[in-house]
Amino acid sequence: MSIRPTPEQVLSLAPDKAAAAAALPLAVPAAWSAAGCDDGAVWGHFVATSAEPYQVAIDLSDDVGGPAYRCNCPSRKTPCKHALGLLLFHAVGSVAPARRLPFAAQWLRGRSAQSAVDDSDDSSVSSAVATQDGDLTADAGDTPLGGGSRSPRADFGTPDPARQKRQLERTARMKAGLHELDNWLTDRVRAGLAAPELADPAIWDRLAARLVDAQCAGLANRVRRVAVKVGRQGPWHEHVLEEMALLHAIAVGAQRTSALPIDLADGVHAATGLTFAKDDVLQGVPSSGHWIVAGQSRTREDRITVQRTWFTVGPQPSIGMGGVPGEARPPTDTGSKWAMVLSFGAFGRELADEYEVGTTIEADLHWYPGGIRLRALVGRVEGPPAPCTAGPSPTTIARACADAGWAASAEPWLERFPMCILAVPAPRGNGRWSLTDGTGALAIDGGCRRIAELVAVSGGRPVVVMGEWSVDGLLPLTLFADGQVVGL
Amino acid sequence: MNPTTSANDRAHDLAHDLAESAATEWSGLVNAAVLGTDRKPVPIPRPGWESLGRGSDGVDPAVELLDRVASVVTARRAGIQPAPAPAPMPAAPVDDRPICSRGAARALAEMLDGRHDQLLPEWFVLCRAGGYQPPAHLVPTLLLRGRRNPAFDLAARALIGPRAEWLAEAMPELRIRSHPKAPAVGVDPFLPPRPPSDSAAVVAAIVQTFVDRSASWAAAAQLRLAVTAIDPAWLAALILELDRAPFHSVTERSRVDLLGLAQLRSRMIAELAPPETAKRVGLWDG
Repeated sequence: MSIRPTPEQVLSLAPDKAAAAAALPLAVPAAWSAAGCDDGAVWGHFVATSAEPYQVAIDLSDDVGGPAYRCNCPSRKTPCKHALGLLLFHAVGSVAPARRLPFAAQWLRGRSAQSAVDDSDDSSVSSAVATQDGDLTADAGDTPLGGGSRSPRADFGTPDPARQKRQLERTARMKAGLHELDNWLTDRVRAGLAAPELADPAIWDRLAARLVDAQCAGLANRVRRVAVKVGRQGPWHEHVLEEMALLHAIAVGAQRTSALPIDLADGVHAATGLTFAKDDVLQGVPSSGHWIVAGQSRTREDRITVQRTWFTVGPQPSIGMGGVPGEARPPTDTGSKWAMVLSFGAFGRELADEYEVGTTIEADLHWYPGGIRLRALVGRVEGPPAPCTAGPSPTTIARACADAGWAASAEPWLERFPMCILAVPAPRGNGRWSLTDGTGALAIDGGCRRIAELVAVSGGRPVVVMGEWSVDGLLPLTLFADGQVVGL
Repeated sequence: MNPTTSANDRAHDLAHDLAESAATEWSGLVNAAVLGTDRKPVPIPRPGWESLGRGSDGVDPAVELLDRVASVVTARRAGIQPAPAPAPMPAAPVDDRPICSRGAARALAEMLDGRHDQLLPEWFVLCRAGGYQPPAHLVPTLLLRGRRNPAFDLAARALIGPRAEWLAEAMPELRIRSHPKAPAVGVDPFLPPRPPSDSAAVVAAIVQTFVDRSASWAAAAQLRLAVTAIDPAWLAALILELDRAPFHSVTERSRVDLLGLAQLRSRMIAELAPPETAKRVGLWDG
């Protein structure tokens, strides 16, 4: 099984934005000669303007410490733009399997000899080191390449000191980043949110960049989203303060996850940007049954398009737990009802429309660990998808609010939560709208551009709306009405 | 008053009190944060919120403030309640016509998106003839498009029916008229072109332009018009011919475009056939 990262994972390896930007134009066939790859490495000659082509090779076989790079260009950045460019070229599937070029074979041989020497060291010292700092190394098996496909690690029982050194380094970097984030937040609160420097996008960008360096990508993205709220209309001080306090909570929590309940600790890890290896998630006990593809939404984050596909339990009520009973914690109320599958697109690479909204699939879903179970992976799928125009069974607005509130109490930094309600749109004035039923009203997100479609489809009568709830209101994603499925 | 109602009322009152208490605590914290803890002391926790603040000496007031804000935010988000419902709007008049098929709706959506939109008049005519109503989710797009094109607006509203006027009144922010404006005198009604007297000859002429390579992109507009106009009975033959027309880089773009247009037209005619004659449409393909 070859290890091929996705383009967004490659980008996350860039030492800075400039390197990432410089690497983009290099991921083209014209820049490379004799490029090849195999299960554990990529290599090629970069045809530069200089007389001698650069010899670039990347070792992908180390799934804990991340890739290693070799390039004989004069750049002091690691990885340099050539290595990133080659990796990007590989990520889009443009590098064909081949035999290793002599320079690459030699370098890779040297590396594996080095790690063999490391392996023969006394490993008891290193395993003691590993347990010392259980907080962040608990799942440090996830690397920047964590989302890539990968075979389960066979050498789990024999820790590699070099890997553990890298894990510890990463842990230390993350801790430093979290500490810096918290200091930054308290500094802002000391100076006051009315202080003019808060409105300077550069200070937010710098903080986000520092968090990327500290490998807290999740927090960096969150900081960028908060920065957008500064100076917006309405009570933006309140919104920004809310988000800053939640960042503070994550930063404080992530520095002492060993003292937290395990679900909460997992949730904090996910919020900082440590994700779990796909294979570990897929090894968890699945929830099998019929799942309705209830809605899809997309957002742009930096250069990456993130697509969320929401699944909910289908018409068959027999959602049985497969696997070994007793091994899994009982699924939580909402955790067993909803699942969110993420997919990513970048560099004009289209997101695959893997699941069509308004269909049902019979599949195993595996949730990621966390305080509330939403993010999931699709495991085994039985048969083709079947149309499901009736849609999921809706709840009342009060019930949906209770579920969202329950989820917010488990993970206050949760940014969106799914709802499926039977409701009528009603105007609130100034072009703003709510959805209402007998139990009350829920504001529609002011950013929703498709309210007219929602109103037209409802005709002023109840319609089944699936959407994402956030602090800005409900963002409707799918309507189920008159046997029609309308994606908004 | 029965006991459940009064229990509900009590729960409601309790929720109301809690929300009010959280709001008061919240506004004190916001004020301190906006001015900065260097200038304004963190307020003393209000009754019920003491355990969340550390309140002890030696704790950085900024940290205390962030801790307490996080607690209040969590409490508020966890306690999200439905808002009181605003006044409902009147429902749209009931329309008994069946909604057109999903395929027909997709074809309409594609055209409204700008692909092969010269087929829109024919879609309207076919939809009316079939006795269907257009899909409700495309009604706003149709009406917005009609704001600048009275002939289109008139045709679209005839198709949409009473929901057009209802939507215009329900959503004044769309700035759609309640009633269509009469098109200026002399403006053509929004109707598809008449089929030529000899469609077979037109098909042959279109095919010929690919053989003699005169079907350049510059000529495509004229060819599109011809494809839009021919008798539907000849569409299948045209698609077949375009499919195997000789490749040339000069004509390829036109060929792909015309093929797409002809295929969309043929699909749309099949999808919008009146329910009882659906079988007869199949003969055109043969």
